[in-house]
Amino acid sequence: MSEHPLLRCRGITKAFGGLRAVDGVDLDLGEGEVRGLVGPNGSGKSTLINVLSGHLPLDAGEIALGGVPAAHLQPHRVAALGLARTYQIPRPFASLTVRENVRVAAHFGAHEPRPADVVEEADRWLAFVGLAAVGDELPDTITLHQRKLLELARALATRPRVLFLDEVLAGLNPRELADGIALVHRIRDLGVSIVVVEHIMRVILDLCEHLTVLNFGKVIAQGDPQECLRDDAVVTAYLGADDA
Amino acid sequence: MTRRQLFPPRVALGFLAVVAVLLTIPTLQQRVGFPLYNLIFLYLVFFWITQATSWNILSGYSGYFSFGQAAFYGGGMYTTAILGGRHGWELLPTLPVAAVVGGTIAALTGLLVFRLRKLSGEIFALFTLAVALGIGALVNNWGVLDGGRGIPMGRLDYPAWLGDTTQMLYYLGLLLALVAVLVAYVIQHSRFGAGLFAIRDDEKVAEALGVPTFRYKMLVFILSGMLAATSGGLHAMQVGFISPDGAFGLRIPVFVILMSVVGGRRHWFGPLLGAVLIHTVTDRMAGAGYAEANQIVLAAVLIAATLFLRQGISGRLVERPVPPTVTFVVAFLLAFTVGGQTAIGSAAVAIGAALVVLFLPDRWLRSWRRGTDGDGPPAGADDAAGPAGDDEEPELDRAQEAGR
Amino acid sequence: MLILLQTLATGIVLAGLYSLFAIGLSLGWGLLHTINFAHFSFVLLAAYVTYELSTAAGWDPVVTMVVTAPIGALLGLGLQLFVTTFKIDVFGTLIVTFGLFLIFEAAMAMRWTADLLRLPSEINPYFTSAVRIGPIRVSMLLTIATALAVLACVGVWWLLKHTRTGRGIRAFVQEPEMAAAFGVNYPQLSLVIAGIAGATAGLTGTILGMYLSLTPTVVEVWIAVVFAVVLLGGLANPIGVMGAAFVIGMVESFTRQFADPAMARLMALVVLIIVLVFRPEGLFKRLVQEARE
Repeated sequence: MSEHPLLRCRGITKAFGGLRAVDGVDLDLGEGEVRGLVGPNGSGKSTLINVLSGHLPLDAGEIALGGVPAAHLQPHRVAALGLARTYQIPRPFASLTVRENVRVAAHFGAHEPRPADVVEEADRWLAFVGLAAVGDELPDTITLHQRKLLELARALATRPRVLFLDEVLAGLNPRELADGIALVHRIRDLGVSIVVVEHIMRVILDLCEHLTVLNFGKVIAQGDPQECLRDDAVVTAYLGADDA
Repeated sequence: MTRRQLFPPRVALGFLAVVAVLLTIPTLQQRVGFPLYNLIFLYLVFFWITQATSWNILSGYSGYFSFGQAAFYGGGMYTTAILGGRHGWELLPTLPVAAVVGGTIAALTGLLVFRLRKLSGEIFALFTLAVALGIGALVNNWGVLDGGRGIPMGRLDYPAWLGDTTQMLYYLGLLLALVAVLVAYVIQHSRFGAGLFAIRDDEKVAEALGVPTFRYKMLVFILSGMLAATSGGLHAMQVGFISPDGAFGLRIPVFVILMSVVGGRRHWFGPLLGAVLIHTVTDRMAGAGYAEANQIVLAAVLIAATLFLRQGISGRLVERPVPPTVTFVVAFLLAFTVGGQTAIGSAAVAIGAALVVLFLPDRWLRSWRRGTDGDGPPAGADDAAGPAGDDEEPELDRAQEAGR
Repeated sequence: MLILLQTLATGIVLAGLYSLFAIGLSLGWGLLHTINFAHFSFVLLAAYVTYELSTAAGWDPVVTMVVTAPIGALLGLGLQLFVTTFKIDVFGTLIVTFGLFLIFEAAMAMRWTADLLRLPSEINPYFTSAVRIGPIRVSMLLTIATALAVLACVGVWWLLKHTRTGRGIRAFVQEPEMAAAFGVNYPQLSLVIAGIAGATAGLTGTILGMYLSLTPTVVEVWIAVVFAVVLLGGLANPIGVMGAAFVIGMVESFTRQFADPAMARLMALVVLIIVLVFRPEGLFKRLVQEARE
């Protein structure tokens, strides 16, 4: 872990009733880094994203984005600091066209840098993810794959420094998957730091320089992807104790 | 830096032309001597446009459906009645006070209700209704405000150049309607509007994308309350005798909801269209002595529009602007000249005809076009109308899914 | 001390009337996702029917319940069929039934005019006579209402908790797909609930027909206080409805007795607003928690 990571999380804790869904998680993300966030179902990945994006108030811990404290902020303030996310099940604005969806994001999003022309900015990101042709369609008339790309375009249009991708590549066919991986590489090349939440190991190994493995809300392994996946605790978490 | 134009020349000219024509009508009325009732009728149209538009920038744009329009309308009305009718203020200074009162009621309500953790649309609707009824009960029972006796307006002073009372109402009503419509237009075409539309569709996602949802909801609520209250204050002059039941009853929310739902809630033009339409129909029916039948018809229209016409008439009109407009003009002129109807009667007839044309199935219109001007523009124009019309059904399904 | 007891007693019977009025709405909203604004119209229509049967046909007004309850049930059934046919969402039902409310209001104005109609006291002894418990007097009519309310609320509670129908309904509201897979026939069960809700509207109408001077708009002043009871009670929780009605009834009764009678209704609204701000889910838990937020 570097001295001044872009995103620095310490001791993030969030409980529902008696259950600690996220329990003292430390997570760092460096400038331009791509980090994988994995763990079995119910290990606290979604809760962690919701806490970091400000949707859920955190019970304890510190978050800093670019050195600015980001805990206990409303989600739109977190977005203003440059944190964006996609949703596992796409949530487009149903009555706005694809292009208008991206325009909303371009209008708001991070405070810096402000786009000179929102319309052009939105079109740029539509072209970037390859949705320029369906810009005037309503979201429910495009395919699920396209809706996932729309999630990406919308998140990018907020000019993020940190981007959380919540299973954007799940459920794609091999060809779409290869395109998707290439797209994430292109996003990283823009200088955006990325946290990838994913189940598909190929995606993790292709994309991520570092890995954080969660189980029962705690970090059980952190570091090089290959090493993490050989770690006993990780194997146990995924396969159960008997097979370990 | 390129700046997109807020008012393209065509829109700006359109606004200016309509306002210019409307400004000449009182003078024309005196010169030509057509019935004074036309001026009163137009004032009422302006009044309803203001009320419906003020409701719509909150409830249509942000999706927070309010049943509490009467709180602002009645609040403004009582402000003018108490200051002017009871304490002898001039009319004009009471209107900004009314705006402040309306804005304050909205701000307090918003602070209470938008802080709720899980605020569903139904709770917001009933909460606003409770606020309106609560203020009504307060006014009805508290002697300082009214105490149930009502307040006669008497004669309020206003600058002489505004003409007699009817003309003054006309000019000020037009001004308020213009302000309301411009506010709605500007919001729709601005960053603010983009944020509100996003809130309407998915508030959580909007917030995550950086829309300051609480601030935007408060802002639009206060704007809406100020517009409605100012209009209510002016309307006190038209009503003449102010009573709690009249000011805080269900009539105002019923009509603004009806006008906006029928006209279309997602477009600045919707409430305007709905106000013209519904008021014309109501005026004709009441004139003919069918007040109750009118209420039944309008309520049936509200139900039908809720079930089948998610985008309202304006949604349909955007897809098919020309035929209904032409029909309206032709029918109006025919009814006025050949049919010997009054201006308002002709308008009612023309609206009916235009609505029929508007809702003709797309297929009929296409075959009609092919039949008459076969050598005109080829099929391209028809195709543009076709898929849009066919889209209506999935639209409805989606809206319902979103509500579940 | 006596005044205090008297005020308490008045509050209790007032609460009875409110819970009778609110239970049907609460059931429809919580179990069927129908916010039935037309509930108020059903009540008023039943009140007019009671008036007609008592004055024109000479029935004892209490006996008219054998007619008004079925009428209410039929109206409830009809509305539910309409809602399921057109697949109207919660919010849609609020607007659609609001439209129905306006239609009923106008239709009743056409039939019965805007004049005040009041049952003469010789036909309606329940209004003037009182039940005495020691030195305390409470209105006979409101006592009947309270008895009906307790019957209705406890009955519904028992139905939901301890019968096959009730278990099916609760299962469906919690896990629609699971329940359907286990053979819960929701359309049919929803009609049962809608019928019961409508019948309580009929009963409420008969009581109001004896309690008020009827005009086509007389129910409007009841809207706020009844919705207050519904929201405070926690949706579809019959015991919660009684509890909420008790709170509102007491607030009203005590305001009337010890402060300004005119402010009684206003206080009920204030209570609603305060509770919504601090406990938006109502004073009482929903009997049936929904699957999704």
